[in-house]
Amino acid sequence: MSARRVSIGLRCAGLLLALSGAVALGSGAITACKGADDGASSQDSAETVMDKADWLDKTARLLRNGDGLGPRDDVDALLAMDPGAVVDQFMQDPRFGDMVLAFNQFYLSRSGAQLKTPLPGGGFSYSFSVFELPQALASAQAVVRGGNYFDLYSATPTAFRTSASRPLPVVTGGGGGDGGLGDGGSPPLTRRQRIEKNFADATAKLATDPKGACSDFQEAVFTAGSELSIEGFSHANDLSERWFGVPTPSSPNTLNCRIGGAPLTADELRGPFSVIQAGIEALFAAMDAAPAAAAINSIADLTPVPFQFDGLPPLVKPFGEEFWAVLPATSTNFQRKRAAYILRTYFCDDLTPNSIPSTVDAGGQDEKHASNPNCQACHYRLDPMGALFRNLGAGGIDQSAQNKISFSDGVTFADDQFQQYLSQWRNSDGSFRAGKYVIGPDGQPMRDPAWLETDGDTLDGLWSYLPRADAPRACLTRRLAEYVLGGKQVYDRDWLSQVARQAKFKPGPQSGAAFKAMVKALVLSKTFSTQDPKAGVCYDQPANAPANRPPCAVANIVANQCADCHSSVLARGHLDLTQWTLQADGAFSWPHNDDAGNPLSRTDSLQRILDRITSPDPDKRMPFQRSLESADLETFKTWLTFNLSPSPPGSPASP
Amino acid sequence: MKTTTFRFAALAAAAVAAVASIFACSRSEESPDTAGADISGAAVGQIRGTAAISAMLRTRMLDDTDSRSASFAVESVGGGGIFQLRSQLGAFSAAGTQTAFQGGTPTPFNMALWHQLFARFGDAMGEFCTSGGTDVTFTAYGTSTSTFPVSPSIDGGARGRSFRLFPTVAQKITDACTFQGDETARRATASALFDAVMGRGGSLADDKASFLTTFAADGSSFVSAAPNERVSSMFVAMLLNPHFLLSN
Repeated sequence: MSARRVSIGLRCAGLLLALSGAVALGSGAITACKGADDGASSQDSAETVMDKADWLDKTARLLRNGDGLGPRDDVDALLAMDPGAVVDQFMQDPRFGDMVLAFNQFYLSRSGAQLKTPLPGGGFSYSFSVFELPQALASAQAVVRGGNYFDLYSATPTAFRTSASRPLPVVTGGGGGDGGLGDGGSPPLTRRQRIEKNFADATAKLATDPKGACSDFQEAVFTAGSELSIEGFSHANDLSERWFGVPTPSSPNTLNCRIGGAPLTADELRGPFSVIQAGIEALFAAMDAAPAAAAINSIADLTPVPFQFDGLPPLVKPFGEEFWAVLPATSTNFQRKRAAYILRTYFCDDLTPNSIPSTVDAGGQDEKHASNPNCQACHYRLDPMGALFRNLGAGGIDQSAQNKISFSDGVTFADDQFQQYLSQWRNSDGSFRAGKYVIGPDGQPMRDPAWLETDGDTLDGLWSYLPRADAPRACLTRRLAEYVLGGKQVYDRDWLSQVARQAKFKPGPQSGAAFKAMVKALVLSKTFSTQDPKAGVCYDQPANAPANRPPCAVANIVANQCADCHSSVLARGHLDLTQWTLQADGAFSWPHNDDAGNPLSRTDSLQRILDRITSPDPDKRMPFQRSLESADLETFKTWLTFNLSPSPPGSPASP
Repeated sequence: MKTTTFRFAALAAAAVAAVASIFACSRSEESPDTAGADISGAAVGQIRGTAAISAMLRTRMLDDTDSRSASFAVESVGGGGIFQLRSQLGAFSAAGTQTAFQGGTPTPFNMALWHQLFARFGDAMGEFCTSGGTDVTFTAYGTSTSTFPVSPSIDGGARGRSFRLFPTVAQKITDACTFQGDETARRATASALFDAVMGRGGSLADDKASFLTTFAADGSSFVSAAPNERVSSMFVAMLLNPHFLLSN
């Protein structure tokens, strides 16, 4: 064949191929896209179950954090295995730890960052963002090694060694003079010995020059931080920031060389010197007790550095520098950005307005927006969460002992202005309206009964409340389902609750294993293994679900919030929300009669329900004298609106 | 000449595909809040993005014992020009405390970019027919658009980079280069390569059948084409397949 013929042939074949590829791509996209927004309308579907090889690849990509099957995998052997055994095997893969870590970061709204980069000599280096959220890392390790997954809510997460090997001690010169290299006359010191000498020199200087001693001591701590950083201590850079500043009741030894413009005396400095030096020595000891792995290939190789030291603020906190930078408190929004993050992240509450009865006590602050009944629809839960941050100013610095707050926009509230700022959260008895607030039995906001008095009214209380309360755990479970099954996929909440219950997913040393059990159950679900699942279809039903159960997207809400009163057409509202049956008009719906006892059409019925749950009139709004939590209201409203649209996908006659 | 012609046709077709994709995914266009779905890798009808595509190619084709493999990034295959546009290929971007997946919806522009990337990927695989061995070299690989010589400490040296293929994958490519035997044998060769790159999922059955017919059937111009052209075209055809490029 001549070159010209090849050229022509290739041109035609190429064009045909490309066009066929284009058609395939287009049609593939159509296939892939269908049902993307079909809404939550139907309960079951005849979608095809995924081919096992497809399931294997999807499962591998999920559990290996993006890496699917490779040439090393014996696909034939995997195809012959029980799916549960396949999941167990994939969970033994080191990359499963990365998947859990990636999920934890997704849960904390930090997904997408590259977790690790390869090193030229082999192994990996985990990125800064991983150590920025050490609780996510500790929690992922608990899943891999066995332990408490709910370390995710730790108020004092552990630090980690970031690198694989510890550097050799470097000799920095003689012990006399300024310690520079080439300093003759004294025996050379290792870096650690140099740090000890720096502390000793600063302390010795106290008697004659307290001001100079304090400055030297700060320098010594900075040097120690640098050394700890070289040795791979993940939070070395926080040393200077955390252990210097104005002392607080919980950290009396925090060092500040000047308070109110007056230098501290030698006697005032001696105590903090001693405690901080002991703390740093304890840190070095902790590093020595946590030897680094020879190479880091997975999160299991990252060594935690447990460190507890009384009298000093914890070095590692749940929120790092980045959190405070991207969620500033300002003199106009106060703490609301931070509060919104907490609600969205830990409670799956995106602040959908939720009507509540008016005349809520707004505290002593004349803040018209927040005390307006309509605005309280959000603020009743936003503001008490913001109150937890009330003393944390720019950069998250705790100013609780200073009677002022400095915001990120450069404004400082002090004295009366500071008291006025605090008054927005104060109750009439002087206590603070702080914590997780819910709608109480009387329809008024109240603090969640799970928030105990011992939790207090500051951010520390949140960390003791989170693992104990049900709502954050339910939110976490939902996020996991979103991560595994897809964010737009609906699923039955009762089914998901059963999955969590069966896995015994609750705080404790077994919760790491329980997390794995939940992931396994989700991967083995019908939803996961359905080819091209429709986003609006539930594929998994709770055990013992009655045949006439309402559509899965709203079944849980209706059963828990509405069906107690509306359980028969002879009862209130002539509405039976316990039955989802074929009605006279040929559509599946709840039995619903008008006042004369005539059955309402599906459209009329759903419209009436929608009107009732969104009514601004408290005498008409359902649930009567109560409010749905915002996520439930949004879900129910969206579902009703969708099903009232002219032609929702799927036959209205199908459930 | 042949390559240019083929690429032009394929590029034009890719644009058609992209337009088709847009219509197909118009509902996603109406609902931009699909980022959460993409995060899980279970989004519907969205481009997987550079991280996922890189992971798939690396896992399926490269030798995991070679330290270079872990650093493979598909967005670098086309050189600095395309690399600078990598956010158009589907990538995460941070916004406050949230991260959102961007560039996931197929458009004429990002489909053209993907075609360019995969054409260069295919070219490298085609050149493997000539070079042999175990390494495949991406001649444009890099992240810089500079025309000046690049320091090894900055960009790994001169533009272009080699990666080691997994031995069994290298053998399958070699077999596709030689493409020996009758139609049955060629189909077996093409099938093995398809399985290695695309996986063995049953959902691929129709596409695989078309692939085998296009490249291995008696009378196919690809049978008698130059090995590098054939292999290059095979890779472009596979990688632009929606099953590979889009989330399921």
